[in-house]
Amino acid sequence: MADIIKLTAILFVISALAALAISGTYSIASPKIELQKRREQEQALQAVFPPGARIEETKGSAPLPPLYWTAKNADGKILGYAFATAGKGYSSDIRCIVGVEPGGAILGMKVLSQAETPGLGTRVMEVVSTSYLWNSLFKKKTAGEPWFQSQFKGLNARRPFAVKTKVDEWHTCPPDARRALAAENAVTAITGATISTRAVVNAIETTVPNYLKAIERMSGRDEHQEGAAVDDTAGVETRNN
Amino acid sequence: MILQELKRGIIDENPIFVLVLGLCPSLATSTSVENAIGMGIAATLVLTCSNVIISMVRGVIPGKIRIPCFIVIIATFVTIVDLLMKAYSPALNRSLGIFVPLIVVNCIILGRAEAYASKNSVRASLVDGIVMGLGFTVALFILASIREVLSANKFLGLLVIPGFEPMPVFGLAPGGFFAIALVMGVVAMLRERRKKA
Repeated sequence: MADIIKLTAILFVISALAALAISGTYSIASPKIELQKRREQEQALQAVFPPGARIEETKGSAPLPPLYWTAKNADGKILGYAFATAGKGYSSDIRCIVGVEPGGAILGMKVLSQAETPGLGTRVMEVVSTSYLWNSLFKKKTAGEPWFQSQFKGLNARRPFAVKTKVDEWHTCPPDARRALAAENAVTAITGATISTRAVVNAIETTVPNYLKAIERMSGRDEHQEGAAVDDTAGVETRNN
Repeated sequence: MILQELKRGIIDENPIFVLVLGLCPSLATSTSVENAIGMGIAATLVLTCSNVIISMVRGVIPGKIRIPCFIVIIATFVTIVDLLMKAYSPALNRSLGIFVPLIVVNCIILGRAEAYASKNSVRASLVDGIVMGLGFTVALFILASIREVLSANKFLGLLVIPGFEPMPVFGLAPGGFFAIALVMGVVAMLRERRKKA
């Protein structure tokens, strides 16, 4: 009996020390982790909007997310919006940022973080190189593109996406096959089970169309309430639609 | 002495091919050479440090509750490494981050803690961690080379043989078993032959 109590006490002390060590490290590391996340987010924003766009943080109220981004060109015309969204993958939440035009055409998609199965789900971030090993030993390596993310560019976020399996992956498709996929609003899956692919697709489908509609309603209402004189950016945007 | 230890970790007591430890992460991360190297490095680091820590506390922990204690210590250590890596080295986190959670459940770490570090000096445990980690890395590298070339005609993401039609099954779990079985068979054959000689 005394033995059980003694062992329990020792295990308790060890666990308590472990918890202390982790919480100590966490309190030191978490502000830095937040900082790294912000930095990553800024880089992703640069990537999902056309170069040269002025990116503004925008505060939203429901149904919009508390924070999203608006990109304008030099004249203040709205080029598009970016939303952070996440989908449930196989073993993690796949967080991504999507840039869309007001009409729904996707300007760019960037995966921020994921912890999927290495070699399968992690291919959402895959960068494919087409050069041969022997060439790259002598020549400089050419930077490939993250094809899974690139294939979303130009698709319409307001329409449902099609997920294609058993077809050639996007990065091996010639331009006309890519156009055919784009016409169907289709993406090619990274794995046969399509869990990670659908996670990304669902993340976009379930949020972006609603957000865009909400923004449309809002800017329409602004027009009515404030008149044409006050908010000229909203005016420009509606005229363009 | 060093060579002997290296030989022990890489050949005589290779964690995957001889001790048959850590097959689950091996299966998952030997699909490409890049993943294999990443997992190998991450596991070697954690294994070495956990061996040292376990060896340091081996006199304090009562034998009856050593396993839960080891698990708590290893999991704590891995979590701390994970947090620090995320905070201070985003580049390292991008390449090794996905492997760190896999390491907590890697039985090589617990296996070496139980079989070696809990019975040997800190210095010997440090060496054991390094050579076992290297053995794991080498084994993963061999498996991944076979699997990546056969499944995608690629090595480190670069194409290898012009016109070779790849066999995707080698990139999936069954192919992982094929590759492990083949290499394990060859290793066992060589060991048998050496025993006779």
